[in-house]
Amino acid sequence: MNGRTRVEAVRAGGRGASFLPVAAVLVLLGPAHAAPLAPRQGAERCLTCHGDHTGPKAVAILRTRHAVAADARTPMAQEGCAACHGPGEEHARIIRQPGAPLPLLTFGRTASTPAGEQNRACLRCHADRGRRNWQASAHERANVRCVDCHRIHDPVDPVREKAEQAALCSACHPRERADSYRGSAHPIRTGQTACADCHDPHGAFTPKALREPTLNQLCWRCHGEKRGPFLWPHAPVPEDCSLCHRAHGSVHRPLLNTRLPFLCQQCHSVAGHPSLEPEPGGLAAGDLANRILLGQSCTNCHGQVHGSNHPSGAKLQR
Amino acid sequence: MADDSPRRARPPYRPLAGGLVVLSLLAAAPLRAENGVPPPAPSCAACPPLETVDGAVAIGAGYLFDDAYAFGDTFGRARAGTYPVLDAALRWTGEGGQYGALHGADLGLDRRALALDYGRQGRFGLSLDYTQTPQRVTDSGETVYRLEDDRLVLPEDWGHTPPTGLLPDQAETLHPLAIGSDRRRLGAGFVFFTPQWDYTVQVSREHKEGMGSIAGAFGTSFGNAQSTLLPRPIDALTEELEATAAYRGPRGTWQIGYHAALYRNGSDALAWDNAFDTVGGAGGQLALPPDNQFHQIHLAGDYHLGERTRLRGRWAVGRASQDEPFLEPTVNATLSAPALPRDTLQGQVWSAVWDGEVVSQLSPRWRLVGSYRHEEQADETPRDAFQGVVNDTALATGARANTPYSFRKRQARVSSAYTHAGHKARAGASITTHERTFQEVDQTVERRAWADWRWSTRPLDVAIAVARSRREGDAYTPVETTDPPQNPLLRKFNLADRLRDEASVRLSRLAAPELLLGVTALYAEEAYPDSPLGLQASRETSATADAAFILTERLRLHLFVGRDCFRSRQTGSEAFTTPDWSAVLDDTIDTGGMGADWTVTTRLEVGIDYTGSRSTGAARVSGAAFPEQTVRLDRIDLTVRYRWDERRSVRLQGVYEHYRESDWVSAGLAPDSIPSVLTLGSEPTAHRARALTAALQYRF
Repeated sequence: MNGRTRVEAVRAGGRGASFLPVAAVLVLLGPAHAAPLAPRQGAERCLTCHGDHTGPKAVAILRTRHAVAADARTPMAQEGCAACHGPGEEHARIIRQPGAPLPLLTFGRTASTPAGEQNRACLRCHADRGRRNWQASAHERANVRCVDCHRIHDPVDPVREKAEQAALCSACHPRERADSYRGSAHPIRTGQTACADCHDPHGAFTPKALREPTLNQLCWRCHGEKRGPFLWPHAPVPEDCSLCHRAHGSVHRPLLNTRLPFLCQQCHSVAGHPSLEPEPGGLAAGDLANRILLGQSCTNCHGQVHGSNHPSGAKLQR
Repeated sequence: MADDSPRRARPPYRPLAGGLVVLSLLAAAPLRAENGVPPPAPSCAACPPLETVDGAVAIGAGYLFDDAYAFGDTFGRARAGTYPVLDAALRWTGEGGQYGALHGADLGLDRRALALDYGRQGRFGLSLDYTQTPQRVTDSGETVYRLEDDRLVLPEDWGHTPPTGLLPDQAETLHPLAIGSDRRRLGAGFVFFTPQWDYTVQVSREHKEGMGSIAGAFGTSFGNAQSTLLPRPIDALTEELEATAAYRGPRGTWQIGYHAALYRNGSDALAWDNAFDTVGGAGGQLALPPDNQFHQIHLAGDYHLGERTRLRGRWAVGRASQDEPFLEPTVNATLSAPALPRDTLQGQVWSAVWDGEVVSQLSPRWRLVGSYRHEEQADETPRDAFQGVVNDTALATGARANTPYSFRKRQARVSSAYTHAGHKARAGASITTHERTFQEVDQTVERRAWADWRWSTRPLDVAIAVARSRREGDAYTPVETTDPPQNPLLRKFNLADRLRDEASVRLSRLAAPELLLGVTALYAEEAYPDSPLGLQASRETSATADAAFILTERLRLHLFVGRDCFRSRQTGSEAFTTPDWSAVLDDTIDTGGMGADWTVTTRLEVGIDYTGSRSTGAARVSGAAFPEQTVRLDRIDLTVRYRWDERRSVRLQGVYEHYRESDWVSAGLAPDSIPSVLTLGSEPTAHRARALTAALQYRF
């Protein structure tokens, strides 16, 4: 159900749940204030205790997109704080006993509300095409909560800022953080390339939750010169960039899984150009050994490793 | 029960709505007296106004104390000196849901970003953005060439002597060369909402400009080849369009979209003078990446089949094409090559990707997932025999037909998960078939099984996963089009039979409200049992530990350490027969860091972060060890913020980065170090960079 139909259901009183916000208002205000408050006024009831001056800083949410009353889809255009946290009349009525769970939906790692239930509160409105693959996704299976990444009450949600994203993702993905500090890496740690530029954290059909239908199509969005097609393609290139490259970062430039010449020698040993044994002694003496070891190794001659469109480029040298 | 179905969404509470209303009417006065929470005023005094303008602007200056070319890759400036600091974040919201925003970051640096947004929330939105991304590889290169009328030319007094000892008499002809580029991207977007539809259009244009390098070889064989590493001008344009229409219905979502990408290269060829007179003609010409384009449409959607089962799928079909005119087979006027069978490539590659998935929550504790993926690429570029010229040196022996590679990959997966009392156990299996054209193996089949267990309680989260896969292929048969032929004992690792085992452990514990600990460990091993030559085995291990402390309300600490190790073993044959050498390669990367955020007083905040990385690459070939390749990085970031009042603050930032690498591939390599290759003579990257910025920030 989208936000608009939910609002209509509440107004029509068609469901028991939709009756509750009105009931909550009546309980709180009594007969003298029978008319329902606008949701922002209802929010102020919560702010009596949860405003800036005491308790958690909840008021900041009123400066976010969730509080735009003119947008009928937002919580503040519907049940106010109760849209996400549930009704507050019982919470406001009883004195909380130490250690007793709050009779509310609470969010966060230490909250008593299970992760799935926390996420359902968000997905009531956000189960759109961007979350189509959430169920059974890697993050959902790992019990990741929406609020583990998103700061709903903050005017600026850090995870949606490119410069902040890598630090947040690194909390659970330390290997990728380490990769970004290697000698050859995409500019992930500085935020120029954000994790979400390539991956959809809410899940995707493509393995590793990539945003494009295939890995290569994703790479080609920034590296269109490798797309081809070429007259003389290099077979692993159109198949899978990760056969040779390590996208997050590598010790070996440019983002190679293994250094040259060894990477090429894993697949090439042709007559007349055998896989010469790379010898440490060849660093100092010998012509042929020098050529495959130093400089750019195999690409000292075979520079067109991603494919060549030259009629004489069958050996990827033109 | 489908756990995120919007149609069945209910608030998580169980209302007694009617009873509550009655109670409230009968006992309103006593209830209000008990709870003690006063009723709200008729208007929301605590709420911010519906129309607001707020933001922050930071203006200042910075100084980079050191020339550090590669530092500019991440920092956005490579040359010592003063630079402006300008950041801005401005927001406007209107009563009717209108909004506007301006966001600018690092506007005084080469990695600047600027974004403008305007719209009416829930109705429409417009966006405009500009980003600049630098890439700085090295500035220690040297070249004898200069670019003149799209050709790399040698100095007029160039001796054309054989490469050995090439430059001592002509060292003055070398001039510095920096390898790097800048991407400048301009994007615009529009989104329009209706209650059930949203429509999105995004366009972008990116210009990449700079200098790279590429090899230009002469000679006809491995034995007589002589080559030059050339500076390669980069001047390319990428334009993209993406348009989608998406529908949200009571039982699911649907989407249709179109994506177009056009790549335009400023030059289609690079010509250069031959630096040697012992082989080849007066010059050479190679083809730069040709203009190409890609168009794709896709359909995607999900559907709720009852309360427990969800179907979802995607279908994407695309076509890449390239039809640039061919260059001449050679620019060597002494050679006469036969006419080409056609003038352009007429290249087109069709791609199709289908994904389908069924997720069924059979019971509150038991979930079943099944999926199928089909990925296909059909290269329909025409085949012809091309009589080429080897490196502008001599006619190739015989014509050679091009080989348009196609493949088809299909995967079926099924998994089941059971959840109980915080425990979640999952097991699954998949089978993947991969068919290829013009490859030594027609088809490979990989079978994989996995299992994982997760235990989640509030303070503790533990996850253990294991997996095993086995890939087998058809008979390994040499490809006729490979000329000269490969050693028949060689097995390419992406086609060879393979066994792979994986295991991982992840532990996260909230040891106290103020202390969060995390540990991960990963192990993966591959073996290629039927590969006499080529990659034999590889192993990857990884371990990390993280901790975050809240020592006091004003002091937070965090630290992390990690080690990644990658080892591989391969064999080769110098004699073109059975294996006669082997290599073991080891890469070890240690990463660590720590940081603190300290609110010294209500006005003064200090933050400091240190990150260090140590990478070591070792290679042993038949027992003989190469020198180690090392990369060392140390970086410290310091931020001090002093608040004058609610609106004004001063921000001081310091950055220190020390980067050094040693690599026998390039250490001490002069342009004429290799007898048959005139290189660019780059040195391993090393820099020590210090930068200090001071900015006044104003909030309103």
